[in-house]
Amino acid sequence: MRLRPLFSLVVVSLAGCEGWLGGTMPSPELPRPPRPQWERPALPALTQNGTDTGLRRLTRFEVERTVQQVFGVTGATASLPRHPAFDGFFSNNMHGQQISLGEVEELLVVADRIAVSAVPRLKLPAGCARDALTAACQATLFAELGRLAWRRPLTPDELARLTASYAASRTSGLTADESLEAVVASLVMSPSFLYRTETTFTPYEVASRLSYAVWASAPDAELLDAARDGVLSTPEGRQAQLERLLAGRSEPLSARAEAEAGTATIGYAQDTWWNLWGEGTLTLRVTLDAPVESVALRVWQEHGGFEDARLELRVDGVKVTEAVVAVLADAPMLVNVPLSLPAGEHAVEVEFLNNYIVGSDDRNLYVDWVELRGHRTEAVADAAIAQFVAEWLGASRVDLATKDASWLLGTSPTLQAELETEFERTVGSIALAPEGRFGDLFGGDFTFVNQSLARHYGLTPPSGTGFVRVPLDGVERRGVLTQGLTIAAHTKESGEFSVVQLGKFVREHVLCQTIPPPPITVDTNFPEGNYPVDWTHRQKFTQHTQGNLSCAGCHAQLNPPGFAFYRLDPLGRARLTDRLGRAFDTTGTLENLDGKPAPFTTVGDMVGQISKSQTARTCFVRSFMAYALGRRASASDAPLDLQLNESFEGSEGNVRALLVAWVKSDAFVTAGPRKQETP
Amino acid sequence: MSILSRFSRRSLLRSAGASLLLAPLLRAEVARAQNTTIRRFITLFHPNGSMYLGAASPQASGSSFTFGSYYQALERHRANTIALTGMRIGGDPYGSQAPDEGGHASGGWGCLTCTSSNDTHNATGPSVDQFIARKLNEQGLAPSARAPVFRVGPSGGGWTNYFEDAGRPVSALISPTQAYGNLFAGFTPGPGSTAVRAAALIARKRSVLDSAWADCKGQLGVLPSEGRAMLDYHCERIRELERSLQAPPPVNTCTPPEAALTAVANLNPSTPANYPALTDFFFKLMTTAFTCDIVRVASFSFGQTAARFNAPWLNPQVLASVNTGESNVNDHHSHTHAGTEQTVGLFMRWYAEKFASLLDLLKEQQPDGTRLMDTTLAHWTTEYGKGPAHDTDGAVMFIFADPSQFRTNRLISYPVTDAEPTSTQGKLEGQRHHAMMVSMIQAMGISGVNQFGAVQGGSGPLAVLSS
Repeated sequence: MRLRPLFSLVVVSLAGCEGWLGGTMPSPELPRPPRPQWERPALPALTQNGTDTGLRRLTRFEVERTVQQVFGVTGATASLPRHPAFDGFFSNNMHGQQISLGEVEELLVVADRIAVSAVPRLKLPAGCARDALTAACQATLFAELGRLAWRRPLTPDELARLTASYAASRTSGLTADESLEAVVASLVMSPSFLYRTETTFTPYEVASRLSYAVWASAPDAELLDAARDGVLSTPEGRQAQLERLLAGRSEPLSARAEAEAGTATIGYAQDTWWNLWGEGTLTLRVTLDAPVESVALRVWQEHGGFEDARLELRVDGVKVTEAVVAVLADAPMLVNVPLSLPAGEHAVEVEFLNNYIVGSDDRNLYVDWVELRGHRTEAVADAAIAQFVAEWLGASRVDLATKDASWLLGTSPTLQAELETEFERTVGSIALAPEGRFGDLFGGDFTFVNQSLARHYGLTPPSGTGFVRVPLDGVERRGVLTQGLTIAAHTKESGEFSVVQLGKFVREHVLCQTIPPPPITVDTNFPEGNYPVDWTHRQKFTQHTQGNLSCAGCHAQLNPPGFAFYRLDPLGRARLTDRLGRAFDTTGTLENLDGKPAPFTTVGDMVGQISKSQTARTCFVRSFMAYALGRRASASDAPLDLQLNESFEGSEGNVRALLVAWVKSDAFVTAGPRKQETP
Repeated sequence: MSILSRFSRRSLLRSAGASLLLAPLLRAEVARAQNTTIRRFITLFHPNGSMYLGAASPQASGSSFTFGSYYQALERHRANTIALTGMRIGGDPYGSQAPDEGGHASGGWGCLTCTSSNDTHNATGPSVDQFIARKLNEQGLAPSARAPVFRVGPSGGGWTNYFEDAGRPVSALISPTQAYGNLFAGFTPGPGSTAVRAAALIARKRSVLDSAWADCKGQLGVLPSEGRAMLDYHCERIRELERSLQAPPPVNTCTPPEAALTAVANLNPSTPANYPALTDFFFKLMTTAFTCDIVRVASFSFGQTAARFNAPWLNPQVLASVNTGESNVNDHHSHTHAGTEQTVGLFMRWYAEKFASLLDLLKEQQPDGTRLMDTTLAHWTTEYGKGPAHDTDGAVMFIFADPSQFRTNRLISYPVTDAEPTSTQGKLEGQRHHAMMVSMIQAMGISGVNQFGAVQGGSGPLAVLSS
């Protein structure tokens, strides 16, 4: 994309909304370094409430993901209250995260719950016994757990505190596991877990800023090691780690089939093994949800004759190896063979090759289990970036369960989860793809549905059970702005379609413009029943809002983008006519899109124009900045603002490029403006 | 001092001689006499205001007052009731600083905090329930500073009525399982428990909090002032919670309401048809938590301010017969704007019946012979007065208490007109409720408090309450 020459864009605060409908207003001056060939469009001044507290509390979303990553526990944090969206937008704003006593109480309950689930999964250091942890074992275990949970090495005092807590529980008569629970709960309950500090930007603070920016979760061991080794002090070092994190989180994954679950041509199964006594072949079907990197099995023999038992291992009918089994039941043998197969179900066969029996001299082959092994790479970053976009667009706050029941009649009980998946998959497929472009986020003529969601939308259900990418018509539906989750977020709790909420959504969320609240003396209820029955909703609403001078200015801005959504119901389903069978009129003009009026005929037309607008792109960057910094941007952030906008424009709206620019920037390792200290 | 309180329970029982049949009654009387100080506090809230001040609301004056058609269910608790009409929530000092949906938000914030809003849509001071809980704990009058808020019904405009402090809203408990866990998790140590084991588990919780507190304090030094203030507040809350764990709860004197939980655990809190059962459960939970002395303060609200409270068990035909101008909506909020005295009354009478049932529970005899009602002060409030224009003057409120603490069985009425407010300041009629709050705070035995909420509300208690 060619860097645009300076042009003037319309302002954003529509203060008062009166006396200004479409004209150009003077752009506020912003402190910024000179840029000869490109200058970002004017936006509201970066001046408000932008101080940096140096303290960032993990959001519920981040707590959940961190707990999953560090302790392998999911679903334990659902009872934590969601942070309020500060300024109506981001829940991670550091000024809106003050904890309350009630939350501390709930955290104590949640910390216990996490601890109970986490302790049985703890990987103990080699040579350590759960019921008799030596001092050395405790030190090793607690130091590593603490490093992962607190995202930095523990001090000797901190380690001593955890050890003392464990010892006190043991002394008081609690079991070893219950005492370990005290340690895990202490880690979770501590501010070092619940908050990130961004003060002097130690290597560990930088590591956390990086991992929470990309994964919305804690640094993994490799990133912590990089912090320890000083790798993150250079922009290039940070970029390399960023690229690694964007590739996903790789975890070992295995799928085991116990022998008794298989079938054999000859032999018999007993307890936990299969005896292939007559040159039988055991077949087991194993499914691994990741590419297979090796196959393993545990076997032993009953010795007979003059040689040991031999086996042939086949996977999907192809011979993998032959092995001699020279061990007895008291020391079974592990056979592990590398191979490369796609994820999915595979048939593993073990054939006993050299049966022998003379009288009581009997050679047998016993199989305990077989296992497919690989690594699962989880696209962790997709969900994290989708969370940002969802918060920006208000979609993260949808809870269909709180909506009026009449609204949900006939819908699937899993609709909320399906809509969330659709949103996440769409954002994920665009935002972090090397070729992904911002314009597709709003203007892409495709979405992701499973069979159930396709039926909900009236689309042709795909084959299979998973979510697949399907094309959209681009007229009524395109991009995330027309998805059910987004629309539900801007619909009344009662389920009523709301022109005002949808209009405000477009103006304030998507375009970063501000619509002032209605005068306090105005009754904001819309008495639809007061107007002639044969009028359409649009006619009634227009009359209601334009008939009052104190309302007309703002509603000229709000109504057209609100009316544009008429043909999508509050759950995103198409509806071409109203209850009386009249076609909805969705035409209108979006005033002040990149400084000029943008007429449109359908919602798809409108969002298509928005997707190409400079205003929306710059709004996206501003919103990203607020989310990344955890606060409103302030005047001193203008250089970063310019740098990010430039990268975004230069990459034709590529979000990866935006992330790279952010991570490599000086601002990434520098504290923001502090509140003036009072003496 | 009551004559009963001059005798010990033992001597009184001895004096009852061989009349064993009288013993339970005497036990109850003695226990009541020994516990006449108010120890517990409840706030009750219903959304969308009082609306109709005529025959629907308390009328006349003195002890011959009538409750009015909306509040008739309270008649059986007349001896414990002070009704107040013409109370002013709105007017100064509310409503001038933030967009507030024409009074819903400021009324919602103001009715329990007596403060105005700030620019983050929050009250600028604590709500009276949280304030009392904190003060009771600070002054050694209660083992816990916790003051849970239970809610049945939707969140309305998203504004809460309850604040721990300025700008610090309290999240309401709406899930029965979550609420039960919040109050009773760890309370009963589980099968095979012993007192030693119970003590060990409590010690473990203390150890966790100790460790968290030490970590918290250790982090303060590196932070700039804003972050330090935020984290220091967190540190103090950890300490506060730890203090409330100092005394192991009296496990032998009460039974957590597990059976009640089982009955409602799978009910969706967002489904209106479940509201009645959930209300009953939360009342049971609240009173059991009092019996177990887990908390001394609790609140219950039907939705939050401006809540569109649907009640499908009410008379749907009557509700549907009124066009509220909003499609498919037959909720309380819509009917306060476009309904009738009759349709609004369906909701109001139901609220009153439920609150009366809570008072019934408070009057049940406890294992030690006492009644919670004897030592509990309850306050029923709402977000504004009458009129679809969200007039925050002219609200109907109630105080419920033992007659030995307040002169009950009366109506205190302040005059208001039918005029609608003409400005954001309201009409400035009726009686500010700041003084009433001070009266209740002082009645709890809290010392050193002579003012509550915004300073414009003045200082001192509401004299008529003690007359």
